[in-house]
Amino acid sequence: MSPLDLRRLKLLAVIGLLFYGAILARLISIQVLGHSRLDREARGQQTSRVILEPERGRIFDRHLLPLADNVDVSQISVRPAEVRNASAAQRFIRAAVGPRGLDRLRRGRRNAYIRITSQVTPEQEIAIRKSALPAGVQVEEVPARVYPLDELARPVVGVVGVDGVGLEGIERVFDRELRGVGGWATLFRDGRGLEHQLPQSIVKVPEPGWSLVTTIDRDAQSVLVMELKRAVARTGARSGMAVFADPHTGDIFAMATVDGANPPDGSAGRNRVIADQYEPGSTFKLLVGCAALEEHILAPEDSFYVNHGEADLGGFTMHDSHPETRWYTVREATALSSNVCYAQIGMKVGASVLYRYARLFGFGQPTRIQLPGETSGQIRNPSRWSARSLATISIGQEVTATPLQMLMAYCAVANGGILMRPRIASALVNELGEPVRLYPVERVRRVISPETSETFRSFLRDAVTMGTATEAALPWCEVAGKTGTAQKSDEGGRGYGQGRYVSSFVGMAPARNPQIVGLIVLDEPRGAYYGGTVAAPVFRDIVATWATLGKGPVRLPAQTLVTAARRKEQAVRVPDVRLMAAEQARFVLRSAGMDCAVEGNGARVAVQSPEPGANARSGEVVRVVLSTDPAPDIGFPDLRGLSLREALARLSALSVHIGGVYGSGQVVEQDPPPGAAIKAGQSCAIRCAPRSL
Amino acid sequence: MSTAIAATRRLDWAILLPVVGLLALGLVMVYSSSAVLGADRYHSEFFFLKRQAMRLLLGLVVMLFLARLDYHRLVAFSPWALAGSVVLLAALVVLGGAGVRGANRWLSVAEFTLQPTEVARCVCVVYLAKLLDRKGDRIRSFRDGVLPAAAVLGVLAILILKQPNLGSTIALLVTGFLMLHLAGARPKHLAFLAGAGALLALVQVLRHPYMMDRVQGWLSHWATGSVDAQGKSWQLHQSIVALGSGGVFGEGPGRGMQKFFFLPDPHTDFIYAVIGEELGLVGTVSVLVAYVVLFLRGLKIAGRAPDRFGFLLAAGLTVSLAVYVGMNISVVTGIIPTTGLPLPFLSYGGSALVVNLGVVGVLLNVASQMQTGIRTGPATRSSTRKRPGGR
Repeated sequence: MSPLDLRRLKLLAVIGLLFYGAILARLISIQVLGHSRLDREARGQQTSRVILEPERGRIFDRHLLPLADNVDVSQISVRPAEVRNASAAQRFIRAAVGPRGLDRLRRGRRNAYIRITSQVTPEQEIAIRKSALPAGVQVEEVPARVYPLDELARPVVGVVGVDGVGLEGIERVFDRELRGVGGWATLFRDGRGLEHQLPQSIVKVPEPGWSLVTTIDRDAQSVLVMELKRAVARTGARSGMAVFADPHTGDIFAMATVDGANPPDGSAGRNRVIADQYEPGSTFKLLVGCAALEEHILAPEDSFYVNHGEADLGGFTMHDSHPETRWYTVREATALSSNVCYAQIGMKVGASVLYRYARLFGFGQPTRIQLPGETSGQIRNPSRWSARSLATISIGQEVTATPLQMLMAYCAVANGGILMRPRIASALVNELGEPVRLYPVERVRRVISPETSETFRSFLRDAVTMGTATEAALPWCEVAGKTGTAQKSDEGGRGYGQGRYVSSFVGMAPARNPQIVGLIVLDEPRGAYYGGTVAAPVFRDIVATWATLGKGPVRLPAQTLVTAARRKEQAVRVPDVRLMAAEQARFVLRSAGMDCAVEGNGARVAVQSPEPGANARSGEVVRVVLSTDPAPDIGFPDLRGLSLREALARLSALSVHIGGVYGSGQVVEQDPPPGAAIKAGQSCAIRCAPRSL
Repeated sequence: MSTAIAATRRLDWAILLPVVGLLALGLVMVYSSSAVLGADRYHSEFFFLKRQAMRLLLGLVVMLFLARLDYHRLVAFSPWALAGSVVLLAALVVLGGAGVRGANRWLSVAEFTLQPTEVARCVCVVYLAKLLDRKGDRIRSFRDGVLPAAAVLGVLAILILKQPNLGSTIALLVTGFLMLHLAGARPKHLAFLAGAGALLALVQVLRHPYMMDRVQGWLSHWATGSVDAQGKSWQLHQSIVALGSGGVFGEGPGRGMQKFFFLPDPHTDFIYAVIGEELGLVGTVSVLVAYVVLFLRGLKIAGRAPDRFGFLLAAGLTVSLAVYVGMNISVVTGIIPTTGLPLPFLSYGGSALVVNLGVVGVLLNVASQMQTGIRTGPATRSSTRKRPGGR
């Protein structure tokens, strides 16, 4: 080699060293100077923070049966990065979900995670479980909120939106308590966008929400809604409202709004019991009468003379619905609901006292119930009353009240004179069931003396025994109550001729020691419109049916004694005619030697009394109520996702035999499938699997 | 000559130690970087490691064989080897063009896959060494000296480009260019060749959109230091992120996260990024030092080779390795646009490993015959023997 060769070699070595020196500089710039920035970037792209949703607290009724519960439902989702065989994945989704699923898949293809559907039907679920999932497609269990009473309690319990926030009712008011505290986890995310939990992942466990124990009675709520639906359908009312409470505590047992074919303004699901105000009519006479007694302006037996059912009250004439000429005592005026008398009583009481009592009884102010959207009703200040206002207000016109206000006023008379704050939530409990917050019973104020309340209750008793409310009477329990029939003030002139009315009845039972007070309001019934004809029977039926179920505060009298007495006679078992058509039920009962009294005009028997299997005499009349509720026609309910206990409760409510229970936990399969027609005496098998968390 | 025979028994530790160190690290890093991929694709985290270990054994056999084979015997062998390489590369082009699956860079014969490019680049160096040694001073003539060498390079370059494999083509041309320079080609001829090569590369980049994307991504990455909107520099940026997150001491062996599908080819072209992430600057600089020691020793062996063929051969092979290493690390660190070249001794890849160990074997053989002392000059040349053709 020549020296020139070696010089070129050295040159090459020097150039090489310079180049490698440049690499070294670059390495230092990246690994030392750029370290903190790039390390942060690496952490950022390699980790993802996942929000862990807490389990929402449940909502229970007063017997700790769930009104709102959580179940896991199957959700089909796709992670595009993991899909190996796109056509297999598409075929699977088309088969499992249909074209809608494919649409979701196409729209979300750029995302790391596509939710195809969270409403997998049991048939789909069974089909899915049979076939192998293609890579990238998964079926996950995700939590879902279920409401065992569904729309029967929706206006009270409310609903949770897709984002997990309570939108209405209890779900909204107690959202913060029910929601719990969210947690999070740091997951490792790889370059394909898939997330993995590594041992070093940091996790903050979410705290589940508190559960709420309410004062609602599930039986009462069901009965209330069912009877109210029948009443609305029967009377053609635009809407119906009903609310039942415990007069001693103000606890709401049940609260329902049923809209008819042509409902008044307001969105569907509006809780009209607290959100709507109506002119109460004669039920408002309560406070006029109580004021007169309490202030010793009148005694119960003081009398008023009414000539042809009308009276001239200084410039204008007041009419009774029945034009009679006779003397009325205050007691009779109340029981027979004489407008003429009450206008005069009101005038004796005077504007300021009447106004004071209206306020004392809680009118014109919200009741502060723990529900959203309450209105306060309106009673104007006497300074703004016209010449005839005192008389009109005395018979419950020219004022408005919410059904709940009216109920609470009657509760005060029922419990000895104390206005209670209505209560719907009684306690919050943690996940262990330990109470964390109690909502005590609240007395608002004493309104009238026990003596006055006792006296007025006897008036109300008379209304049922011999007055306007005889339709409310029960053979086995003394009932007290007051009817109301208010002419609607805004004469718009629509509908059929005549006036439009709000018919109502507010009752209490047992009359001498009231355990329940209930109000039924029917807005614009067609045809018959007197509260005593339209609303009073609804109260009676609700109390009767609720008592039959045996868990309410009012029980059937000495049921056991009756049963024992009957057993001595020829013991015949009452056949199960539930879910049968009326003709079939009548035939079956006749064959068993019993008579059949059919009520309602639905397709199938919803309730029967006495219950199936009870001992009965031959010739006994079995009362069956046909359901206008179309639910039985829908067929088998979707039980999947429910707890075993809940599923069994539903099936027994449908009088379907339990054909077999396999496994434990929550229902994953049922046979027959949801929607299949229900035949009387049919059985249903269910398969359960442990709830996965 | 007895000294030469005795010398073949002696191994050059300055070459061997860095190579052994790199090979050992390579096995560890191939496992670390390929376990996820192996588990994901082949259901075995050891899939790549096992194959690499087998090839390493084969490579060591080849290395020891070539270390004991007098390098002068390569001269007679080189034309045939070159012809064979051309045939293999042409076969690749034909098969690849015919759309045979997977036949664009690899030839599969039974279970054995071969990357003809790796073989060709070394055979080319041997052949050029022989050619340039023969040419002697005629290298200063363009037509008589430079052109034949350029023709050999050109044929190989075009065949490799057809794959298409721009990275290997550039590496080959740069190696050839540097050998011409070492052999004494005139600067203006070299400048002409460099210009022609650059033009060729430019045309290639313009003709292939994916190459264009890489260049654009690279440029925008230099400008902004982060990924461009279209994601053209995503791979490059992931490599920088891996290196940077490693810092000075690294995340620890096996604890890198970027190999989880962030880095495009963590066990082959981007293994240096995994080293940077897991072993930090300490690791990357150690590797760099090992390479530099190896290359300087290789050049020193060239400088002391017993004859001009040995000089050109040792220098050419060393340069060939250095160019590969330099280009790979430059890609990983973002100094040049992304182009797929493995990192010698470290990256997963059988053909490259065996061929590179063969190169080390030849270097060892030249080293065993090298002269002691610093003396150079005509006396050295005259002492060479067995030089076919002579000059």
